[in-house]
Amino acid sequence: MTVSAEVIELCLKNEPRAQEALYKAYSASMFGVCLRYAGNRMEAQDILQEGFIKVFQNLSHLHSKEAIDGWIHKIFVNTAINYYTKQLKFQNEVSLKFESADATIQEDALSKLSHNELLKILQGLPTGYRTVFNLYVIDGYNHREIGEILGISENTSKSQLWRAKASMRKILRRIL
Amino acid sequence: MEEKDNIEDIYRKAFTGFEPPPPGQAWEKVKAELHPAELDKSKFSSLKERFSVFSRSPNLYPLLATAAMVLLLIMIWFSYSHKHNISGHAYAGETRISRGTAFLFQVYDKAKPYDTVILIQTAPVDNNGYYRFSGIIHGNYFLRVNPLPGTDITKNFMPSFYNQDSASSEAVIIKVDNDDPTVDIHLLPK
Repeated sequence: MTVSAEVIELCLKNEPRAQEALYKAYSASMFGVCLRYAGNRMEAQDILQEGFIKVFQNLSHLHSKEAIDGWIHKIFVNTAINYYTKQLKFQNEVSLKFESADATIQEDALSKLSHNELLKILQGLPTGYRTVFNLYVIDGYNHREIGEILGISENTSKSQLWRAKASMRKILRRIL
Repeated sequence: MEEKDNIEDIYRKAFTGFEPPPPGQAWEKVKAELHPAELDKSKFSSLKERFSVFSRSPNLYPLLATAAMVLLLIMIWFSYSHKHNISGHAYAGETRISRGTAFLFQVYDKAKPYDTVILIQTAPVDNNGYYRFSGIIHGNYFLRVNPLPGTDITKNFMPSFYNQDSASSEAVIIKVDNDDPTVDIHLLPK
């Protein structure tokens, strides 16, 4: 837990200083989440603000203070997904038979890329690919959970992930 | 098929615990949304803060009072300097009338003066036929003099407007801009 129970209590009383303390404790990590899900920095900032407003407005729904880290993370992921709801168009499932035919990218070449470059590639993906990639690869949801969150089938989730990685490989081959 | 590959690994490694510095003004926007009243208060307090310079420095009071006085004088001067007097004499033939009343009408639209005319002041005409209107702002006016009823003059002369050359002719507009006009009125004979 990044903040004390006392800070949470004061936030529940709508105390601005406590709210600022909580914001400071989570803003960097949550901005990281926002940047991954957003198409650019401006949108990430919008999501960050919207996310924190939801956090403070719904704090009374937090069942256990110890679970606040995961609870806040979930709010931000949901906020980011909702932000792009209208843009989320999932293409039909594709056959995954050829997935393994995609060559992997040289690990050392990949590791030479900076955070910023990796982020640019991720942000350049279509919203649906980017969302599934984030949920699956970084936030650790499985395809069944992703299907529930996004209202799609497990297979659609898998195909989105495959398409996301195929797109990324294409970009990486061009720049490496 | 949930096969992991190096793209996944690279991204997982790079973005797990990714904590970039958040944008500076984001908290202010969140706070404004959560506490709108507080924001108004802080705007007010910053204003108060600016003015509190004076309350913290009592030796500035005389300076402030002088500045206020100068400002007041400038305003008074300005308002007076932009107001005028209209004065003149009323004649019945070659002689000045003794006593009567002068009427000043303001004309709001020169194009249709008789539809937009309003009586704004009256002034007595003294024994020497003199009258005076003061505090007149820039504009267009009609001026009329009525001799005192019951006097000999009223038997021979009628109430008349400035430069009216016959009973049926229209009144002439007096324009007041930068000067104090002197306007003599010659009553029309009956």
